[in-house]
Amino acid sequence: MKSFLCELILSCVLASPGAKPLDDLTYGNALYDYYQQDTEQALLDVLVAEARGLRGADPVRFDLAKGSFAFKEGMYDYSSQVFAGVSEQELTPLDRMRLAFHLAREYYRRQDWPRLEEQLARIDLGANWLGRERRHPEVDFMAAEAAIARGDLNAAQAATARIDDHSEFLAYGLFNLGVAYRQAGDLAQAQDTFARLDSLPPVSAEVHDIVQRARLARAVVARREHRQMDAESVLGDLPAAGRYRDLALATYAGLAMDTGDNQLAARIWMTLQQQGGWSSGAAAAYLGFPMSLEKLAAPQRALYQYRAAEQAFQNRLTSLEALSERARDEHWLRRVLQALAGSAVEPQSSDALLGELGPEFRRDDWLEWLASDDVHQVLVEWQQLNGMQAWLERLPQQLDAYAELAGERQRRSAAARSLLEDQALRTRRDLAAAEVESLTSRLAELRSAPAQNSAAWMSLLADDQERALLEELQRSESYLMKHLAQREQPRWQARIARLRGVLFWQIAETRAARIQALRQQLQEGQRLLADIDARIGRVNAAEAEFVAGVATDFGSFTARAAALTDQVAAARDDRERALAVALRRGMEREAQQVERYLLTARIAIARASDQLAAAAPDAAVPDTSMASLPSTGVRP
Amino acid sequence: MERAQGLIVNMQRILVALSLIAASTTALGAEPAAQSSDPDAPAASAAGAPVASDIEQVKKSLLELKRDLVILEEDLLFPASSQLAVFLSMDVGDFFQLDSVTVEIDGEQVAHHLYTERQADALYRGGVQKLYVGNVKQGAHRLTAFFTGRGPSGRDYRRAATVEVDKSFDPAYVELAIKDSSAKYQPEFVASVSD
Repeated sequence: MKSFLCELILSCVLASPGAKPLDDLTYGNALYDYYQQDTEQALLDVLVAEARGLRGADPVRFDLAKGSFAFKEGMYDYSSQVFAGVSEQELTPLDRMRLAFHLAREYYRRQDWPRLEEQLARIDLGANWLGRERRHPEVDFMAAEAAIARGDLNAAQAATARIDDHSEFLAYGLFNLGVAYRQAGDLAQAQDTFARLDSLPPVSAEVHDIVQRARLARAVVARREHRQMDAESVLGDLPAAGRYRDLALATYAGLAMDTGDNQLAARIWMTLQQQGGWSSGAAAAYLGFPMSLEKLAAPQRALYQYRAAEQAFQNRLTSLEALSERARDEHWLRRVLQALAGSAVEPQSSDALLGELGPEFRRDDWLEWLASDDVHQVLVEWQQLNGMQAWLERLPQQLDAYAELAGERQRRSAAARSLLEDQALRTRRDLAAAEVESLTSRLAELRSAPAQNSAAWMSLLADDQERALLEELQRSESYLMKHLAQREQPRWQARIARLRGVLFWQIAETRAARIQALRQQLQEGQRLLADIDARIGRVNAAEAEFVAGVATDFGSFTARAAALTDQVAAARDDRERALAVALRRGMEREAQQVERYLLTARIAIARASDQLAAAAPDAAVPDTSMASLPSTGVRP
Repeated sequence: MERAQGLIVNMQRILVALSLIAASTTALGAEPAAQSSDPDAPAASAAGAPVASDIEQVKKSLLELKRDLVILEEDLLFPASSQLAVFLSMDVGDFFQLDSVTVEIDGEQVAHHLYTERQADALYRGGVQKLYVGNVKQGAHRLTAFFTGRGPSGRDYRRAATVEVDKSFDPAYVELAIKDSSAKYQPEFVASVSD
């Protein structure tokens, strides 16, 4: 099972009998973060491992992981560089497929379809032990997209059919295929594809959302084909809340008008109009409601509603103009963006802030103005840059703490150094080494030389007292030779020789014991020397350990952080400018639309007034004020 | 009257067109890039518009700064001569569903981790968790890990694994591994010192 999981994307660390080497543990740790979707941490893990020389015995595996993480982080140039650096010669067949998979993702991102298909052709996962072909949903999804791009919708359908029902890729694949069929004019296939999408299990919120979109699309296609009942049935399945509710209601009301059920249409339009707030559905309802009333032969109420629509459109235009003016203020705009960015985390405080900044507008208005793929990307980047800036703002505190720690280590390093000096460990070591050396050479001499009655031999074994006696005898002999008469000398020399002989026999008799004592002394000396060496080693290690980090140039860190802060600020300003432009454009778009609605409402008012006047030529100009209007009985 | 009827028809067309445009643009016009919460499917979610190159450069510089900071932090806080790191890996895991792990060094608890489903899944898929990193004195130490979770047949399961660590000047790495023993139909818990 695990070997299968390890197959295409990245290779896992497979079990080994003993503990894994550190390289494998480090690589596995990066995978652990990656599998929890913390790609930035995973990428950081591999970069740290690389800097520490822990790429491991499989550098290809390491590079593929690094490139994949970088790709997921949106660092496309970097991931391309990493993949380009992978040596073809070192690739196993499985690695070749992994590389093809990662490159395919890159070509899919660039929408480079021929190259994408070239890479996909290299991926063949073979069959499992039951003989069933192994597929990867993302591979089939990309194959379907490539087939759609070259207009081969049959191939796209075949590729989509291979994706498992529980993969989110199937929802995206089916939706895009349905869109392609619709664009190709094959509405029947588009219907079937959207219907298949509708039958998918709601494995995630994203799939659920796509299914809603697909239902709406099915209704639109059915309406195009004049199958009103089908369209109604599909729309009826849409939930009564959510982002597609207004669109569904507007479409539903349009359908009702198509079929001449103006009573129903009026109810729906009124529901939309009275729900509070502004939306494209509500704007359409301001016009749709009076139009339905006209069809229901309630011209006075229709005129009143047209006037209400005119007023609403005018108010909206005024608010939009005022807001567009305020959007030129950078600080105000930044607060808006911050409120929007925090809306996912703290929706209530975000709404409160947005309410302060523009009371007439809701969060949906702001999002609507920013709703396009390019702007979404800029907004995402702006949020990322904000995160970076927040991290960089915290960095000086962290660096200060590290600098303090490094300083403490430096102090301890100095303490370790002084320990070496204060306790004169090196001098003691020199003395002990000299003693050991002397004893070693004495024992070596004793082993090589036989016992002999000489001062040199005896001094090798003599104790301090005997050595002093030997020296005294030597001095006495010299004295005799120098000062005594020649005839007296032999007698005294014989006496000295006799004394030396006594000493010799005394030493020779206890020679074995003395050599044993010397050996013990040597061992003791060696133990002492080893002990001193160990202490010196520990103190040296402590010194080296405390020195770690001390050499770090915190100034350089600070300078790098400062340069990066400037870059982040510049990039963020750039995004804010782009978002400000996008917001204003969004507002302008809406203003143009509202102006069109306003124009339509005014024409309708003129027409309805004429109509009422024509219907009652003898009467005074009809009173269309609110108080005089009768109830139509239309209720949501 | 005819003019009025013509206007109504025109307006109705406009209105229907507006609602149709709105619906079809939202529903069909956009071709979404696949976005997935499946960690095995990262490319599709990144398949939207390319991130601008300046932000890529900023990201790279920031990552390099973070990398150097992590290395500095490790060197400062966990020097090699006292560093002891504990990793946890899982091989297969069919016979054991991990709930928590507690690590004791010389009888003193130093780490306790309660696993979310996602974390356990990351281990199951081949990830290795750096469970603990800390400092110990040089010499012999006894490390014990207690694993709790659900064993075969969903029974509560608690087992321990012990390893002796002889800490030297070099950093010490201990791997805790949860393995399936297909012969015994039981999980096995192994603690070993990595080279």
